[in-house]
Amino acid sequence: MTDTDTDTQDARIRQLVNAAVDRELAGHRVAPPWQSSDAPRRSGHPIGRWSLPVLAASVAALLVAVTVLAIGHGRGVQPAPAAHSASPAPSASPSVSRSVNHDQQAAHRDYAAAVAGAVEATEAPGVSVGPVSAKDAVRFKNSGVISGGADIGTPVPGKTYSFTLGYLVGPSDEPPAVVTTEVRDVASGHCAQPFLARPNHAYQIQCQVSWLAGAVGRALLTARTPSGTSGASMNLTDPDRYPTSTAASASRAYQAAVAGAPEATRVAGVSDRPAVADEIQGGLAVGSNNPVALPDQGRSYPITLSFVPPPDRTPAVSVLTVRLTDVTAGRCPGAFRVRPGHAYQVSCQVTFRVGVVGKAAFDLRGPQGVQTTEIGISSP
Amino acid sequence: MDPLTKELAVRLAADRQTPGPVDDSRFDALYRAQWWPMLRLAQGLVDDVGSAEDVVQDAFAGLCRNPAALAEAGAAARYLRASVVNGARSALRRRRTVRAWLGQVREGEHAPAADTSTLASADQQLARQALAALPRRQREVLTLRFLAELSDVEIADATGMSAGNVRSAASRGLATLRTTLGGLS
Repeated sequence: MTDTDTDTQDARIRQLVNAAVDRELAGHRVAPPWQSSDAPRRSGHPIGRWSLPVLAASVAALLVAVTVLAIGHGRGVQPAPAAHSASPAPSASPSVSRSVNHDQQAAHRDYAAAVAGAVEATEAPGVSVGPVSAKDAVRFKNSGVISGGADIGTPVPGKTYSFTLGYLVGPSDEPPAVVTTEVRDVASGHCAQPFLARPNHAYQIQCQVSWLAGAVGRALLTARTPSGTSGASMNLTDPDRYPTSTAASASRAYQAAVAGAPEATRVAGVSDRPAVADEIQGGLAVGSNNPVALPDQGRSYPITLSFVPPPDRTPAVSVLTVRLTDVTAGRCPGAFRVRPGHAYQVSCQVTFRVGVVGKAAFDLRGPQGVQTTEIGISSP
Repeated sequence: MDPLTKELAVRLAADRQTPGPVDDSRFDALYRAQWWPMLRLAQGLVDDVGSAEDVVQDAFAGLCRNPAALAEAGAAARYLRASVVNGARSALRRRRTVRAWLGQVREGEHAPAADTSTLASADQQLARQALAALPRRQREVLTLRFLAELSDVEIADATGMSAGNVRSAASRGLATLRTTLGGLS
């Protein structure tokens, strides 16, 4: 074959590949609108989340109780190793759960969808990863360890605290686990987006919480593998020393939530504009600007939710939290302040469960409590 | 670099001596100019429109977080190309795991649409399949060469390989494609 023949053949291959790709992308030539202002990004990738030095010194002193528990990594729950459970009188009692899905096909489907919605740990803000030590590799063969939890003592409502969860996976033939972390019963807070945890690696996950007066606060870590889900829930304060009192706490919770929530204009993924007359007269309104029909399994969709507070709200400032439910994975911006006379748009990223209507819940917290409104965001 | 992108990059850098917030209107212009070339590149690498769109969106989101990448002409396009290549690698890695487990549930979950064969010519399909079957480095190099029309030096910049390795990978990949596709019309 001569050089000319080779060049001709190469050019033909190039032309075929280009034509094939253009054909595959038919109907996708127009760029989707990009959100301008301070939110030109997907909510799953917050900007500078971990760049803030949040009370690092004081928090280090508060994290006196480290609770370690072992979970099975595809092989059932393992007993906690004694050497790691010698924490100084941990007041926060962890609870471990493990669910084995007896419908193996459904478990595999759920696992595959979770993997599709996760990122590599190195791509998840707030997650650091390293190899396990030789000692831990021997100790935790075919098992994993979740560590963390904290006794933050008597936290100050509205003040932001950070703490770290650890997750170690020993040597195993299992595929990567999908790790999700979250905080509950707090004014606001977040951990990392779902990420893949591979055998023989140790992960550190940074979380931040703003305290809710009267609440204990919990951190949850869940590891999903094809054989089921393991998880741990840890109290962040001592429930006995800091009991929950729901009846008296609504007002304090509201004050703490307002203190801990930023203005909407300062939250990535949230836009704020003056509401028009029709919107104001219409009262409380929630909606999805782009509900997804027949979502693909495992695909992550950007959605935009709209929220107009009721006009007769007293006091003027409320705190809005948007949650996604009945979805495989999803992420919305954290809690923020809302005011009557304004209209808000919230950008979220969501991976739907095939055959299930995904929902968005709008929790509007005021002095009297929380008003929740839920809408569907997909049609199966 | 195409003239429009070059002009935009120069404008972006013109009044930004030090990294700062990204100017919305200029970023939007860059987005409009680069979205399609990046989507083509991503599609060539991941072979799935949904994943390709995600990879491209992540690349632009990353650009927003790194205004320094806009500080000099051409840096934005280089940043985007490298981001797309890295994002595609991650997407394919995740997809391998997903498909391994979906495969145990239901074969053919991600099978091509029924009309694919009638819409695309047989030669195009063969070329895509042959390219997809190449080892990762060869596939990336040839995809960047075919779809983004980059030089070996630019491909080296986007993939993190040396220029010598790029030339070597391209040569081996093309040789394989010629053999595989020898009977093309």
